[in-house]
Amino acid sequence: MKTNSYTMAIDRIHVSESMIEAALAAAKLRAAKTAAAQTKVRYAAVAASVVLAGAASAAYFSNIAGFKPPVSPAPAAPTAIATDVEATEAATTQGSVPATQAHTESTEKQRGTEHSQETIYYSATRPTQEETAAGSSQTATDAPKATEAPRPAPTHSAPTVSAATEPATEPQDVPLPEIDRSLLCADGKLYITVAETGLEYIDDPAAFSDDHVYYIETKFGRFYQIKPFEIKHIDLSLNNDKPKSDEMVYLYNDDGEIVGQAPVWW
Amino acid sequence: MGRKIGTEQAESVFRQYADLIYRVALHNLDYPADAEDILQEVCLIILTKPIPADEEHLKRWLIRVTINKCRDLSRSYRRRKWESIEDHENLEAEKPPEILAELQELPENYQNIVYLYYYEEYTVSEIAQILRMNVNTVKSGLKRAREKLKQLLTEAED
Repeated sequence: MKTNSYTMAIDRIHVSESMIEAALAAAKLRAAKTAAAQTKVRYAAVAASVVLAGAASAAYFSNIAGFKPPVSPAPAAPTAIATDVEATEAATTQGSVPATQAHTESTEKQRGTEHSQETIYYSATRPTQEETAAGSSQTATDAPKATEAPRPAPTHSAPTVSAATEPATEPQDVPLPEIDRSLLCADGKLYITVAETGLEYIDDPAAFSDDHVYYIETKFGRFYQIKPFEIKHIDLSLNNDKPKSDEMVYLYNDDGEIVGQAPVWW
Repeated sequence: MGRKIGTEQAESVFRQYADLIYRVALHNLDYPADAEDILQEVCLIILTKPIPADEEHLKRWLIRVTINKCRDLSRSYRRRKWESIEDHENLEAEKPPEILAELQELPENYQNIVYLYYYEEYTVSEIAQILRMNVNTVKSGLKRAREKLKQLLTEAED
């Protein structure tokens, strides 16, 4: 090779071993995304607008993600099934997340295919067998019962999950992992900010264990290794607490397992 | 033409060509951080897609893939929309080598021509093949790039 200033300058450009390892690890994670992982992502979209606001929210976020109807404390209570509009109205008027949002599930999955386009919001009490058999599919939502513990108010718009936003109704093989509450910040939220470079930061390094390496998958489908201890100097004023989108990000550990998830906040 | 290779072999290919990929990316993007992104993108392609079997074909293919990925990134909406984090956080952005920054003033692809001609030592016709350009365009690009390089190197010596 003819040596000149240009070739000498290029010669000095090398990819460090750590950069190679990071690229390989991230690419392997992306490559290893299985059909099951894709299913997780699809189902996660259902809960995309849910904000993690404290332990209570986290609890029913995992309910939504897991698609498990809540256990009924009072089986004899009336069925509470509502439409999207009704559920939203309830959220607005009561200033809190309605109990009916504790779990959503399509009628197709729950009761067969006769109401395949219908979305049902279950209250804290499940319908009895008789009521379900009677097909009481459009009973309006009542106000939460006095005995129900109030849930914390959401910090942004209440989730409204409809048939339109939940196209996937096939059985879920792999339920989403529950949120690891140890990953949440002190206020119960997992904040993620987005920087120009596409890197996402989680701005509470104390929420993470130094013994582990974490990755997040961005809305662009890229994986980034998070080094919380390195981002202490990030200007937190950059965090814009307006939920701009309902995209979800997923937090992976170094085994490639999803250990947390949260809506994107930026 | 292509063959799907195992993870270990793919890793080995990636390690072998990481410098090449990164250098090509630096010639096409403004920031090293973006070039690192491209490194990850191309690594994913090596891991998941069938790749050319023979060595020389593989190298040219990787150059082509890297340039295409850089173009995708340059055109992506987010790059045009977002503000630079360096403006806000007083973070000293890692800059590409000065000579590359100067070469960025040249029209698109001229930097690739310079790199492929001077560093990878491809012929004009090979460069035309890799970049899918007319041979005469490569020649004129090389002429302009030479003039620019000459000017840069003279200034650097002064």
